[in-house]
Amino acid sequence: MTLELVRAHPGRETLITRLHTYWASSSPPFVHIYDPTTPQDTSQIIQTLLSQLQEQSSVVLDATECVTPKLVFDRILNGLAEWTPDWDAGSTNWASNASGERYNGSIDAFIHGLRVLHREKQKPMIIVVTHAERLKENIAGVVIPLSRLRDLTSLPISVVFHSRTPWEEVRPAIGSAVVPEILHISALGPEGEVATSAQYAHRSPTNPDIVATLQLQFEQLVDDSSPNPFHSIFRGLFNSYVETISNTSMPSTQDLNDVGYIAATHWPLFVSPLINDWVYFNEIGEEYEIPSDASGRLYSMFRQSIGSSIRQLHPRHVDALSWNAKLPRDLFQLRLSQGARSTASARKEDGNTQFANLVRLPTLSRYILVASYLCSFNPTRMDARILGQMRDPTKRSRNTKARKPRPGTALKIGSMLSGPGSFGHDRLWAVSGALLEVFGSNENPPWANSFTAPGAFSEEEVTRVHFISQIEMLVSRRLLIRSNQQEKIEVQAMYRCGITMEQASAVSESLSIKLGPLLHEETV
Amino acid sequence: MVYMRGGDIGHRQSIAFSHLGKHLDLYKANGRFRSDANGNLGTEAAPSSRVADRFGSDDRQSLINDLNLRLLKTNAVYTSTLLPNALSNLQTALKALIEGFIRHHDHQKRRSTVSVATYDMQLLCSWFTWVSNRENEVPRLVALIPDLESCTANVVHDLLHISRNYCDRLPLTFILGASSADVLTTMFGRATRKILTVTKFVLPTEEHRFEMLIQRIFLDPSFTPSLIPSGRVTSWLHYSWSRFHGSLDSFISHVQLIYLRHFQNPLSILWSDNSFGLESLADRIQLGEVEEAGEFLQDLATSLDAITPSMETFLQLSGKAIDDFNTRLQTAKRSFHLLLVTQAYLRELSQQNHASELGISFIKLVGLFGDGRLEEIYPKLLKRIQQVAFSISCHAKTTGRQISDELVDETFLAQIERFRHEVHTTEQTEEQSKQRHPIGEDIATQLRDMQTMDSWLKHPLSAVWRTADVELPIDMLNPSMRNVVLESLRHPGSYLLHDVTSTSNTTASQSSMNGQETTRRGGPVTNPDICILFARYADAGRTINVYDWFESFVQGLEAGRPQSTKSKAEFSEEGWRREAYARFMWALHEMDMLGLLRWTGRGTGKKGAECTGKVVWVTPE
Repeated sequence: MTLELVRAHPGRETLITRLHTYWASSSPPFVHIYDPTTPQDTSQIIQTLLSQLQEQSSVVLDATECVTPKLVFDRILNGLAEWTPDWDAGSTNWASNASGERYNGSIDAFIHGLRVLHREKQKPMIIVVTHAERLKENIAGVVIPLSRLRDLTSLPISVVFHSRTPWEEVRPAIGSAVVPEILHISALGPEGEVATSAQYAHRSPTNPDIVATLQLQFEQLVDDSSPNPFHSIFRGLFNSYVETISNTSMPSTQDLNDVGYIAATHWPLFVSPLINDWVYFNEIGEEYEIPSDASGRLYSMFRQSIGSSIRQLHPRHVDALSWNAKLPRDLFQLRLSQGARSTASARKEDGNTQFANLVRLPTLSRYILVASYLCSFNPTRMDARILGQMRDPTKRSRNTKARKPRPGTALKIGSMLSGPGSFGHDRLWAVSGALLEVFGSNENPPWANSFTAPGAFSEEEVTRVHFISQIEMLVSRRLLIRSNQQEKIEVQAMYRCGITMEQASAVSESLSIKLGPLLHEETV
Repeated sequence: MVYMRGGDIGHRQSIAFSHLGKHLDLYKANGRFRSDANGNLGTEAAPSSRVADRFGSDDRQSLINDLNLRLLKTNAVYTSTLLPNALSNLQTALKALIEGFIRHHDHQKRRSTVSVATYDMQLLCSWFTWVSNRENEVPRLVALIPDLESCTANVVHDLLHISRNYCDRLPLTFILGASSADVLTTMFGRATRKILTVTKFVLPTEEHRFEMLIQRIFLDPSFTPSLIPSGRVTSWLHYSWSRFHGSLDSFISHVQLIYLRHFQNPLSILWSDNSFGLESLADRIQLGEVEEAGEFLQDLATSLDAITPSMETFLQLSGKAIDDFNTRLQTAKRSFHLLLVTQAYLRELSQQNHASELGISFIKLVGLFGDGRLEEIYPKLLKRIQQVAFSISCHAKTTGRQISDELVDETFLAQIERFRHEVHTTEQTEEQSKQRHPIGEDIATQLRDMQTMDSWLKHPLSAVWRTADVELPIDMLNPSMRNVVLESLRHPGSYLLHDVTSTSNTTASQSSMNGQETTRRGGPVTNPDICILFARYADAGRTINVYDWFESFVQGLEAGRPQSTKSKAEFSEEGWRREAYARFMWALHEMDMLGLLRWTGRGTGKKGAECTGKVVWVTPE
């Protein structure tokens, strides 16, 4: 049985055999599986192994869910007793008899419950806690009792912690004398635990375990009924394809799931020229044979597309479905036999649509955003000068030559390098008002003419209630960052700009403002 | 006499957002995605969809509520709404999620000691098993998070992670509402995005939504609103919408205020709406008998050529007039639609050189319509349309534009279609292109009839159903805080309602309400100390010497000093000086708190309190 499992998970031989030995024969009281790279895969292995065990009762618990000790106790007892709470019966927990005895009140009650359960079942028990690092956050008090459960109950209980972090970080700072049996799972691949085996003796950049696993998954999906991407005829092509993907994505990720995700997303597109050919030949009633150079030609067709899909799919800027949906439909209509040499590439996102959500903000919010950018990257003393010049270009001060820095003074760091500076609410509204006065005057509503004093209307605009609520809205959207605590009333609210230069120029363009001349160090 | 009429706006709201009905299919679509995802290699996902909308938070709330109601009406769908305060820690989040689903069936009491906890997903599983056995089809669970940005990112991640663990047992779909479309990249890490399969849904732009609202509410020929906005009102609505909020709720409150303002117009006494069902309308006759109404009724009678200036006559007249008015308005709206369509069509033809009459925005056109000033542009349009057939046959431009606007009357629609059809089939022979095409004339005739477009305004009683250019209530909805503060400091009278300079009746009666204050002090009411101080502040130069200020303040106080006979005994000069000093300090600190002072650092003391700088310069009146 374990042989199948070993075959299904290349590179995890040691883990599977060791866990199997532990649980089948002499289980150590407490095992910590330290698995920094492939936790998802490992937990799948554990689940499968546990489901194969007949002699033991077992439970798997996700520590993320464990917000209180009561929940941990309930889960463990219900799981070990294979008890499902019934809604009609009031969703009660497992209890030995109808008396409704509770075992979740304290650790002592829980131990008592375990003893009662063992008396009923007479089976060794296995408790697996995944994401064990989370235990420390919510219920640190339970970690030690759980790790010493065999000592406390003197029952054949084996506790397994499965975590991304080493035991030293999972255990609480004080009161931990237990030394677990530590199982360190290394990354898949040549340096991994299987590296020495003769099967993968040759060293290549390809991660053999990942390739092997993905090939196995392909085998599971094989469907020979009609021309489709998972037809067994494509097996050889798929193998080389997976190697290519694995190599290409090597710099970004070596995670089996991530590589699998990218490979699976791209595969239907990758084979579509062949399938189109095949369907075409079927229609005209001829036999179709995959050309011998198909792999190379397909790869040269989709080289760019594969690269861009890794860049987008790995950080999950898009998920597989939307990535596929975004592809132009005619890309799937290509046929290999027609020798389409044109390199197909996924359509790039338009610059305009990228910032569409900023450009759609109400006008005043956009003024605030531009003002916040100016406030963060311009020195305060330049505000009046720059905006004054904008208003009256004849007053342009003579461009003074850059002064030589006096020897001995510290080198000045450019504002673009030092990051956004923080500024007060007063400055924000003053700069917004100035921008509105200089650039927004032709958008003013008809009744603005009733304000005779220069700038009075703009001043009123930027002191309105909605202006302040717009600032709060921008803060909540994380486009503006509040840099001091909100609770303090006496202190003036301080902000920092939260947008990049590209975003700022997109916003200012939408207001027909040129950002460059407004910046002290002109960079746009 | 005030009528609030939000009713038809509320009704229209659902129409305006009918396109959101797509949401209803979202959860079904997600089910499909999930099976796709499982079919692929190594693709793991808890289904989730996202509403990335651009509303203010109020609107998003109501949108999600609306969605929630619709989902609840669908068979075998259960929803749970998670508000930001629930998503501050994981335990409350889980509890809120579970309780949201089970709340309809949670009748029997569970004993907290022996039952599973309320934040335990086992509870949800047991409920789900029970519900699935009861229903014919497998129910779907939809969790709605209306305001994602206000939630704690870690908690949301944990919640999604836990939901993923139950992916095979519970068909959960999350609908997340956020105000920015890229919230998942700005707020969450890759780990969270990995859990989700996201369907994005972005709402139409604000400008588009506004046009849609105006069209559906005020310009739809099949719907008669109880009030037609004038140009000024439309531009104000547009101004607030585009500049400040872009939110439907604010729009509704703005329209309500416009209604309120409209009923300050005495003519609105003739306004009635049967669908409104107000019983108090009988009062109108009584109102007409009030003494003050006599003059108004007389004026009305002369302008309407009525024989007897009585309320009953006017009501009868207005009853007849409303039908006439509505018919005229209906025709005007249809013509207006024809104008819009023509304008849009012409604009398509001449994409490069937009003539000014083609470039006029929709909002401006609506404004012109409301003011009956469309004749400013239509001669130009007329001229252009007569040339159009000629230019079209030259360019033979084929445009696939369809009139999808079902609002346009069918007869007009037929005409436009015929016009288009003929334009496209026209062959490009020299002869024909030289001729002026008769279709242009057809449309021109139609447009010439547009003179009917302001006939509704010429109706003698049109002011009853059209908002006049009333003073816009912008300072009620969106006041300028700074101006309010400064204004109140300069003219406290109008705020404290003891403005003696005002002679109007209302103010006088209100100040008599305030009379206690006046009599207690036994003399004319003095301004508050801070206003005395501020008056000197406004007159000062760049900086103010605090001691001089104090001296001047004392002089100001002297004017309002109590002049009672016992004063010599009770108020010694020393005591008075001390009181003045205390009051000065009080007022000074108040001004400091308001942020009106900037301490220069000159002199001794913590703030260098000898001299203070001014930060506010008030324009002299």
